[in-house]
Amino acid sequence: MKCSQCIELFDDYIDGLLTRDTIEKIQAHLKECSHCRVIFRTYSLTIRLSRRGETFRTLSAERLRSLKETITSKLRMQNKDI
Amino acid sequence: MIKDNTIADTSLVERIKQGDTRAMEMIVERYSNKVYNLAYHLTRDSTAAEEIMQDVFLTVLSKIHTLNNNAYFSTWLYRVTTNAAYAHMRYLRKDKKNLEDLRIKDLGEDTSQIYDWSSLPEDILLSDESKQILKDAIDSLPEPMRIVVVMKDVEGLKNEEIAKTLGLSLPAVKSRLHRGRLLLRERLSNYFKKYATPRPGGG
Repeated sequence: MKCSQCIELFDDYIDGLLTRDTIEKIQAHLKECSHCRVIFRTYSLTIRLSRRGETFRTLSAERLRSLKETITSKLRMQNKDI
Repeated sequence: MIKDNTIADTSLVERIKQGDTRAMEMIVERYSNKVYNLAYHLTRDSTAAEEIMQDVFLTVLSKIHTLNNNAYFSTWLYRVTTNAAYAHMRYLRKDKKNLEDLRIKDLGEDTSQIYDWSSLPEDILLSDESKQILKDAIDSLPEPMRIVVVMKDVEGLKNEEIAKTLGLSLPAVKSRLHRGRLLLRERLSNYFKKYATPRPGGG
């Protein structure tokens, strides 16, 4: 397996979508190729870091609460009209 | 991480269809953050995202009867949000034109300067600075990749859900996701490489 082929399969590999045969090929490649191993580790970690929701919390809890109140009162008014 | 999911979306949606305001409030409670984040990442404009968030829930209430299958509520909600954000940005046409121009073949294949930052300590990986780097990196992804990365990796949607929401094929979603992640990985590598050769004390 070439490096580029291996890297192309990282997402399916992580999602567990590949056949046993392909998984074994990837694992064999990762074992012998330190370059792809590093890419794989850092690729996986990139996903994990992205998943940490607080990284992206751009709205303060207070602002969110006040927006929810605004929305709720608008919804109540709109609901009366329906 | 676990939210109050004691009442399923499907029954809340059914109650909303019958005019139950409390059920609508619970949906707002459950989804407002997601709707806001999605709108924010699409528009990169917090004021716009707040407006979109309000519009989205008003749209939900006025159009909920058009939702045929209550089980698809969240997908539908994300689509309403995405559409509202696109309408706000007037981005859609421009983005579609650019979609097929993405040629990022060499990602991850640069053999020079490869540094394994995955073993860095958590306080570095999760520092405010690195969070900001990641956030900026996501914000600066090409539009088609950004939305998919945000939906999947930040908001935790499933590939199928993203495909339906954006009207894309599954392979298109996967390809954008993969390329987006590789770009992010590269940005993070550039940032973290300053930690590559720690020399305590120096000299």
